[in-house]
Amino acid sequence: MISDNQTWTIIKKELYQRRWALFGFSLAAILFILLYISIFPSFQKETAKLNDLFDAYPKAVLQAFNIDQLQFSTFEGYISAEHFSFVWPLMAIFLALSLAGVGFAGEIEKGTMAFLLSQPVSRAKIYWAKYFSGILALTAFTALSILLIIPLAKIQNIEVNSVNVLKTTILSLCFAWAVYSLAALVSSVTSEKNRTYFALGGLLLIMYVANVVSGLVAPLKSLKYVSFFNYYAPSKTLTTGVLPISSLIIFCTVTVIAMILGYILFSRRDISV
Amino acid sequence: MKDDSVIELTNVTKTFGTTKAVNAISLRLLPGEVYGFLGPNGAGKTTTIRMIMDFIRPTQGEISLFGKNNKNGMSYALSNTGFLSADNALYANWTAIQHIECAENLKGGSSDAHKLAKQFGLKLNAQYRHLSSGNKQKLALILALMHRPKLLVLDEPTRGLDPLLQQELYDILHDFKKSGGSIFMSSHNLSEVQKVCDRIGIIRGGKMVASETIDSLRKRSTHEVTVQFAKPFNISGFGAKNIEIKHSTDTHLVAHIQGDLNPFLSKISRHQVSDIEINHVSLEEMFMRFYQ
Repeated sequence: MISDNQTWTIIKKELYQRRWALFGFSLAAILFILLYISIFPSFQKETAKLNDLFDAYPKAVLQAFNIDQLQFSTFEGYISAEHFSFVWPLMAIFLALSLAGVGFAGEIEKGTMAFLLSQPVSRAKIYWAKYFSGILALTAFTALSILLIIPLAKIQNIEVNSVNVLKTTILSLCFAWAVYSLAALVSSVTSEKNRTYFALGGLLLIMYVANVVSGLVAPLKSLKYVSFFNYYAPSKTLTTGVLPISSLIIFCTVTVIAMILGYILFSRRDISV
Repeated sequence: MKDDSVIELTNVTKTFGTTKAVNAISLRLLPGEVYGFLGPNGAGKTTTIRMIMDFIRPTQGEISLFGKNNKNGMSYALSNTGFLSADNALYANWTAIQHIECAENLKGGSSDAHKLAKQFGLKLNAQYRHLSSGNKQKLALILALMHRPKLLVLDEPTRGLDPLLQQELYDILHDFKKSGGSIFMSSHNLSEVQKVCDRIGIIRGGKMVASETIDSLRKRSTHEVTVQFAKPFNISGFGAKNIEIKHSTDTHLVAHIQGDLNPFLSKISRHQVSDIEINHVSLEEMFMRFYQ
């Protein structure tokens, strides 16, 4: 019983310490949704002009930025362009990096990891409790910041396809978990949270550029396969309802491998606190 | 490994890159013993303590706590160990009571936290970041002592405490020792080591340069003899294994004599002496010799 209590104690501690970050990110995401919903009627009136504008762009450019499925005539098309093309992924990435960076390397950097390590708690338990508290926080953020679209839109009498929103939530959750797991892997072997931010921030930037370049330069077309942003295309899922299984498999595989590797490295490393 | 050891280090080496932070050190802490671990800054004290606590692992050699190591039950060993870090870093936004409750949940069982807080005069509702450095140290001590451990591993325990609290801590450590507990502590405070410890180990440049009991150090006491001769004397007649000439002129001699004084005094008696002064060399001075 003590071991279960230990795990829960660490999970509760982690969530308690990250409560303001989680609250802030979730609140910001909800405010964005409310903003988008409130101005949707104005957009709807200008649908034809906006669609014409985007039709004028080369198809390859829209594909490169994962917005080739844009349709401002529907709420799903509109919200995917406004919320999921840039704002939500950016918020999810920032939150994932913050949770992973502070949870492992941040505690080592501040020296507070000594408090946990000097308790009769195994390294394995510390790692898994910290890892899953990050997963729980990201899940809560994703659920709040995407699923709330359904009731908030309905309050404004806006038609929304709930199944598509649910599928987008699943895809976004897998994307966020994969980013978080990679960040947790880096964080569990470093002793400064900034290294986690720079390493993962850099990696994701390279992935983003690779995805854009692969859409614009034909000979580099296959570069897109190394980019998370090729597999994370929420606008497609939100507008068509297609949940690409290959994307889920890629994200889940990265999550599991990074999670296990992080555990092995964290258990074996020296922690100078 | 002896079964009764509380802490045992056998030929422990720790290398960081090409630097040997700790070089083949061995030591044992027995039940009820207080071991003072001394050495200048950067000598390897904190690295050794981190290895004892399993924060870092030795490059070579073996470490055990209560006969356990990180492969066969470190959790058991840590459940009987209270630890105080030199950096004393706790959660800035937590109150003292939140730290205590978290430690209670992680260690299980009842604790003496409230009794200790009362004894130390620490208010438990203040956030850690608002506590003075002395109060931060008090909280760290409460966390180390609250579960009545069998072993205390303390890295510079009186750092930041005023003299009254230092004395209070010494009393607590004496009571802890009386109840059969063992203590492994690093310190720079030599009078503290004399007051509290049974045995000392001195580390310098990662190597153990001395390990002996305070009693044997005292028995091996050194005298400082200052002699003023009436006439110039020949210093060559004073050479001996246990005599260290600290200072000399034609008619003046200062020497440190370890052990028996009589052979030195008989040599002096062959000369006309106008004044003589004999003093004990303090333990502090003896420690300093190991340091240098």
